[in-house]
Amino acid sequence: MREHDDRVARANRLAALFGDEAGARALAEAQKAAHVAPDPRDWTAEPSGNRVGIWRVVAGPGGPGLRRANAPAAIRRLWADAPEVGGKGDRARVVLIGESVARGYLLDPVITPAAALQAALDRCAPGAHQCVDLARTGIEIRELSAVVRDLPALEPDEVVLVAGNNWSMHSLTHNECDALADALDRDGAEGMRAAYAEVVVARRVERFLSQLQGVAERSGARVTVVVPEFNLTEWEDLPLLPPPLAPAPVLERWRSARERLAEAGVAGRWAEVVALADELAGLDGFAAAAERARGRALSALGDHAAARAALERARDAATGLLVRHTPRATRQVQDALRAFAAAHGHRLVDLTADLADPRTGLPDPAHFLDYCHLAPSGIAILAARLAGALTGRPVGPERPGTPEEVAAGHVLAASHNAWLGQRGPVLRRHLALAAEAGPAARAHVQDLHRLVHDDVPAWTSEAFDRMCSAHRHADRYFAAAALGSFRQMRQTDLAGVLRDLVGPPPAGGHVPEHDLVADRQDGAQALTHGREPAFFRCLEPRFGARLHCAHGGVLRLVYRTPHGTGAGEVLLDGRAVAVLPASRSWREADVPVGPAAGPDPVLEIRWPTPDADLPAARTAAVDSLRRAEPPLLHLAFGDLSEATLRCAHEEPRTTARDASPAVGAR
Amino acid sequence: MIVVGVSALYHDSACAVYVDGELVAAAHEERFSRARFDPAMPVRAFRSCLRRAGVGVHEVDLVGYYEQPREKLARQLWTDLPRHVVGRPAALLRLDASRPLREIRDLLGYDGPVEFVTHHEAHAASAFYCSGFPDAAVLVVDAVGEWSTTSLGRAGEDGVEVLEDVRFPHSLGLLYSTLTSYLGFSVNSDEYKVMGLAPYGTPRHRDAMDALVTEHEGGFALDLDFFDFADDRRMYTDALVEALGVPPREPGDDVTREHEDLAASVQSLLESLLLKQVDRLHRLVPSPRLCYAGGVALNCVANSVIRAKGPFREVFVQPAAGDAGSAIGAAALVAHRAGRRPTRERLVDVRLGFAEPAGACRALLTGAGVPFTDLGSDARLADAVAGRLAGGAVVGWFQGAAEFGPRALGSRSILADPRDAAMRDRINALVKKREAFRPFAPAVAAERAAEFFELDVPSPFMLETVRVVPGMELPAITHVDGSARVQTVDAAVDPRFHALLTAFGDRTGYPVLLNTSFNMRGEPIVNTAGDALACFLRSDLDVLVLDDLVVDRADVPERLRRRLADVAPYRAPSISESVYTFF
Repeated sequence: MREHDDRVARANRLAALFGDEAGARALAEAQKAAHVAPDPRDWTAEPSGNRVGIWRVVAGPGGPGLRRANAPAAIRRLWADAPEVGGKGDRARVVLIGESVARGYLLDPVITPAAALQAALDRCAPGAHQCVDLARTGIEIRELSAVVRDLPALEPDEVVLVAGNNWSMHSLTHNECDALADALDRDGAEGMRAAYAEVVVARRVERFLSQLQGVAERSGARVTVVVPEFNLTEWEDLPLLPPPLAPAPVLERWRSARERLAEAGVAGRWAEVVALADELAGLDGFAAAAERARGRALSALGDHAAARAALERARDAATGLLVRHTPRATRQVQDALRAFAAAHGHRLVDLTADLADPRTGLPDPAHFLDYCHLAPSGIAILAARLAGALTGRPVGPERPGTPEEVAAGHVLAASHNAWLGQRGPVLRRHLALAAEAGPAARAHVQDLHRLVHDDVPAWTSEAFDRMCSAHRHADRYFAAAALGSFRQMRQTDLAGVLRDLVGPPPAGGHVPEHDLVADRQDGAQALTHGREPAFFRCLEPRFGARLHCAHGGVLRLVYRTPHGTGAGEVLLDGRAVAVLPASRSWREADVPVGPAAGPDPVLEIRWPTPDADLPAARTAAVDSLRRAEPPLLHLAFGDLSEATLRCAHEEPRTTARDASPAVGAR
Repeated sequence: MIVVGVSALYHDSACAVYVDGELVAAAHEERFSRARFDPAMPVRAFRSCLRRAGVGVHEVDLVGYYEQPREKLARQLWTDLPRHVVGRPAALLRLDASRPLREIRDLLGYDGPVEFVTHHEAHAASAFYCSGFPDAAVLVVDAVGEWSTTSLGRAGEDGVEVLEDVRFPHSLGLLYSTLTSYLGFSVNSDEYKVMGLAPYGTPRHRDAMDALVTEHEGGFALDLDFFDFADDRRMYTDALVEALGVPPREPGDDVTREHEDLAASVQSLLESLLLKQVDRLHRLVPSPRLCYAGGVALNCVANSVIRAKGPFREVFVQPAAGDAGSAIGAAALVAHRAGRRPTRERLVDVRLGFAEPAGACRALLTGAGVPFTDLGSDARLADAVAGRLAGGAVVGWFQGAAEFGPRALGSRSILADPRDAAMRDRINALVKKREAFRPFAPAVAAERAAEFFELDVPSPFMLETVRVVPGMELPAITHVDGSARVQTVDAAVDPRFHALLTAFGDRTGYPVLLNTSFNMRGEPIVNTAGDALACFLRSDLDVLVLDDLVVDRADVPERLRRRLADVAPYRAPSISESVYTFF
């Protein structure tokens, strides 16, 4: 008993020593030092036996084939829709590995690069090749490594690597988090970003490519490397976040320069845009906003080579800060792939050249469905270049898919781009391409319109069902979003584009109250590894929301400006309607909002500029990384706990479906 | 004064809100996240509770947290002393006493004062402040709080005071969890299965079980030769296997007579030890009233033993007796300490969670193209649904605000005719997919409860096990030993559910319904109408009632079931936790 009491007393003393933030950090360090077991998020070198991806390797008369193992539907959707793959017989086996670009995301499984490659190979050497599709949507580099590790069991003759877009977005090991924390602590956010490139990306890419080389050598397979391309000219990373951990004067100047830059861009004053981009880049070492604007301006001015360089810098600026961004192959990754191919004599298909608009050398948006996923024309080029590389014969591109299938892909692309905040013209381009395909495709556009205005979980919607039933790629793409409603899309440009193309939204039930916080979807909210808080954290100088209620009403806000001084303001369609005093603790405000002039009134909150304790913010971010949590490097301009519009008029409206005798109250 | 209680970062996190001494909202995070027993800081429950309470975060005066992080840290560190001072690999980054406050600030966004109470104080307060008693003896029994595993105390005008406790690793909760694991069930989750299995067996291992525990004045001690709570793989030693003479059951294996007897033995031991604790408590606090909480208080068979054989005339068991309920206790206790004593009224209604806004159910069904019948009034609805139940239908019943606590009590329930002997198997086949030995519970119109059950007190929260009156033909809810875990439904509290029971009684003579939670096995109870529709379609329930609206299965478009099966097919849980984690 004495021994027990002594132990308890010791534990209590230890807890007193380690019970605060510093103690928790000390314990964490000691734990990391004590536990040298492999991090479960790290790579495993052990082959999985007779499995590759979700398939089992099975013996057959033509050599090893594949049979799909039991896997949940959500997992199956990430891989090729192939229950079985037969032996290769006397054909050369071409194994395609990679990420969502290799899957044909937004077109998969109806149109896939593997199928297009098989068709292209068959055109120039009928019956000589068997193309095996082992690409997986969303695969991380360490998971791709597991596929490569298991490849020899398939006896491949050719391995085609179409990957790199996911190589700048990883779940991090504790050691990597610590390395980033060290860099952030020592050199600030730029240092952290550099460390991410060196410690995380470079090491992983080198390790992966080395493994691929080893497997290729051991199995005798030849390797073809594809360098991915990004939709540089069309894609816009939104929101454009301010420079991380910046002092108030810098943020003020950044804000001002950004506003002037946007005005100059709208007006087409390109020389001014370039000058303002210089000013902005001087404030923001990360320069995403500046470089994107510069790239657009230089392109408009005809300096396409400089435009490409600027747009590539804008693309790459999003990586390394552990803020959510879409997949992309950075210059670092592209160069690593090129160097790997050159060093080992592997064949190379470089999409940065193959997908370029011959007039400008910039990537042609027509070959893309979003940031990096290829449209049918892009897939056709990829397949033709690969077939040419594999056979040594020239192969012309042949566009895959029926017009209806392609049109449905563009409807999905419009939806996907809208989710990710892209602007109206991009959405309009995809929907216009879809509508060209005929009445069936136009019906899908109408279904998307209906879905956006349904408040129900998507899986219950008839429009959703029609789209998913008609096209297997719609089923694949939409499945992940099926349990929620699409009402957040009403806060995107998609609602306006659909209204222009299709007409007014379908009538819905009256909604007396709009919860503008619940309706917001914002990529910056969901940091790469983090949890959403119970409030909406505004990392931009403004919060915008479409009201969908032209009658006005009372806007109830519960807000705070964690680092703000001075005052913000509330605007309706650009007209100031209230002043919001800065408040570091939560504060409520009821703002009368008058009727709007247009059908789609926009409410805007302009926050005061944060004036934060930067050393404290940096320390907090470092501590987060040490806990393997995402660091918050961007200062919150404002937090919204509530933003609710109580409409002045409650409009009881009949539903479109009330007319249907099969539906509704009987 | 607005006070929020938070229970989080271990198991089944939750939030509760008191406004001027009234408990007005409480919700589990799992109901929103759909991750069973979600331990994360309850951001969604927090938002929902504030909304239900009609208050903003800026109006919250005080947050109460349900444990003392530093004391918990001490116990966590103790577990691996003297071998390691930094715990085992599973504890990596979890030895962090600053995390609760940090996450309250960062994730809930609350920037006001936060008060921490001990885990057992929170449990005790959750029972006392909901009991309606002016004062009482209080008993808390669970696996472990910071150090305490069993606490004896008193409560009254001055708040809650713990007088004695038994400390970790000597724990009735861990004893029961160890045997739960031994019997192949998941710990900190499936203890109620052992309770359900027990009546099938005889306590012939009781002598062996008795040897596991040494009783002494002021408490008990586990014989640690039989237990190893620092082991990452199992909670017992080879000595326990030898002592019991029955090999451990693997999850999924058949349940044999031996297992039934082990369950009966550990249940018997638990009841015996609890009776001794309440006897001692009564000597310490000679009150006629007992308040009881903690995870072990969810063992309703033992509760009935305490009521029947213990020294207290009145017993109140907190309906959310597990960790989630301590969010209520934390809020109530810190409110009292801050000068705003919570109401003296007894808690009679735990419908404190999420409620769909008006018109939402209609909008869902209309949007989904599901035909429905709108029955408007309680009487018409009750009559229509009772007719279907009497005809053998199994009904998914979704009404108003969700219940707080582990039991479905008529807001998120699956209901059926208890007179049908085949109904238990049918519901298990339709929706529950659970072990055949587990009983279903009845709900009964309160004023007629005594006709069917040997029950002399209200049991609104399904926390009492009583005998079914001999001769009553209620096979679907009568356990193998003739008992039932009954819920009494008062017309003044839940008029709609009461009307349904009454209407069923008018048709059948039995105002009694089988009442089980509205969820698939391994999933949280449904929260939203959308969850209910999904569960209705994934299972093979016959009827769905969403507020006033009745949906018959035959009318549901096939596309809905097909689409749901495509995008979100049901997956039975496959993970069985064999070790109680202390991190």
